[in-house]
Amino acid sequence: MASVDLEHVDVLFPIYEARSRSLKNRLVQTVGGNVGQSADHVVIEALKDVTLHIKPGERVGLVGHNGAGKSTLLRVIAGIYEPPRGRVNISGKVASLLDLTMGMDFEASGYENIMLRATMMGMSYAESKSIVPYIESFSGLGEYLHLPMRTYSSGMQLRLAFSISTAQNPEIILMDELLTVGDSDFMKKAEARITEMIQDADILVLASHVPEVINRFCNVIVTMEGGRILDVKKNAA
Amino acid sequence: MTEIRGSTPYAEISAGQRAALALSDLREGLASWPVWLLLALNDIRQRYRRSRLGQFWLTLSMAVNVAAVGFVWSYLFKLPIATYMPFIATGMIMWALISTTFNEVSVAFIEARGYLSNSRIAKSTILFRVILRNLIIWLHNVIILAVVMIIFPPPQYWTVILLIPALLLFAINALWIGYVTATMSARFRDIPPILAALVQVAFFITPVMWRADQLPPHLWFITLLNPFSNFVSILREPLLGQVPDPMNYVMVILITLIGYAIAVPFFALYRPRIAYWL
Repeated sequence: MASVDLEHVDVLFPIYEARSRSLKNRLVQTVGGNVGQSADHVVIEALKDVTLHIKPGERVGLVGHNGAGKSTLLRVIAGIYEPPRGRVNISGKVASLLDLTMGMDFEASGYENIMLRATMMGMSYAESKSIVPYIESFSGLGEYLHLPMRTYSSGMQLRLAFSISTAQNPEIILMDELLTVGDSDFMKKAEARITEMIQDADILVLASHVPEVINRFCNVIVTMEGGRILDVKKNAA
Repeated sequence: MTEIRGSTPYAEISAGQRAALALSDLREGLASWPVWLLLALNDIRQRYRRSRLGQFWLTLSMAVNVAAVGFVWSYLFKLPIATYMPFIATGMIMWALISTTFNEVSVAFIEARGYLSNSRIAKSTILFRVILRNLIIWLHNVIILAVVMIIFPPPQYWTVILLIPALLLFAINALWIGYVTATMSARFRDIPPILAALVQVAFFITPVMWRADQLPPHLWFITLLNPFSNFVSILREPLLGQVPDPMNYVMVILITLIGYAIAVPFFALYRPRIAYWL
């Protein structure tokens, strides 16, 4: 069974570009984690003492201001950031739908991009080949799949990226805002696919600013602020 | 496929655990060969998309360079073309492999920022991609080497098989250099231009275009101490029908061992931080 366990996790970002910060900026800052000053660089405390246990069946909604640490938390669960302090244990097959176009090459054709993205997602050559017909029909891109991706409209690019990214059945889904892409027809299809994927998965962690989305998909709501977890509560809906 | 992963905080991890994590990065990198194979092939395809000759521009531009330098220099310095042309062709082609790989591994992580900050891809995968990309580019120049060998036959051909261990040693060394330079470059963005300048200087002090025996005998040891020159020797001489000096192999193996002795603990220590620096 899938599970996500974080204990006393801190994440600090050293920022080497920022040489000096004015007092004024510091006073007017209302969002984000604590910005500390080390000898030669600025340190952002993106996560501070975060403890979170997610069991199978839990659909976690992350809410909070911009810079509250939601995306960083998702990236820690995805295994991108290894925290300097605290423990992280993840079991289960993770699909991080944080950047749908990750690994895609806009100069390459749609078909080439299916192979690229699917391989990046960990599929073998044969598995990647086998999802091609599904993506052809789901994306509805037809002849465009032979053309370079840069010739697509931004909606079409997202259609393709969405179709490939959701052609998997993970146990843990990580999402930064609910993926709703394309025109109204495609959006309906996309929502149906996302809903199905979420139902099949053991765990969902979804960061969103849209209360309706959180209410609809999540049974646990985690409120974050300044890199800390303020509150964890059940969501009856 | 269930993946189970735990991470111990890197602030309180022992050196042994760190090394184990670095090795598992290498293992993951090796296991995800479909990823780096596809990325390397796509890198080359991308460079020459919409061009008629496509990647054969690689061959053509190198051929023009080799021919021009070979003819002009052999005329200027009154060297017999039959020996100078193969010397120049092998030198330029092998130096291109060495210098471009050296420069490109150092920016490997910066260049792959999109992958490394959005997915849990092994750092080694990125290095393998860059090394393989350069070996594929080199393969395009094999045609030139073959043509030169046909026109100006070397004294013997069997030595060509010595190229296989030489390329293998080259790739193994490119990997440790990548672990060190790509990691440093992610943190200190001044490293890549410094390394590029270093390679530029190395080109002049390494016997690529000139022969080591043009140096006075008491200075020959300099070429033996120059790491680049040992790699040039083991990569070039087999193609000239010569067997490289055993000392070159000894030096290369020594460089490999010292390199990994430095690179493994270095990469192990800084690997978890790379994602934060990008």
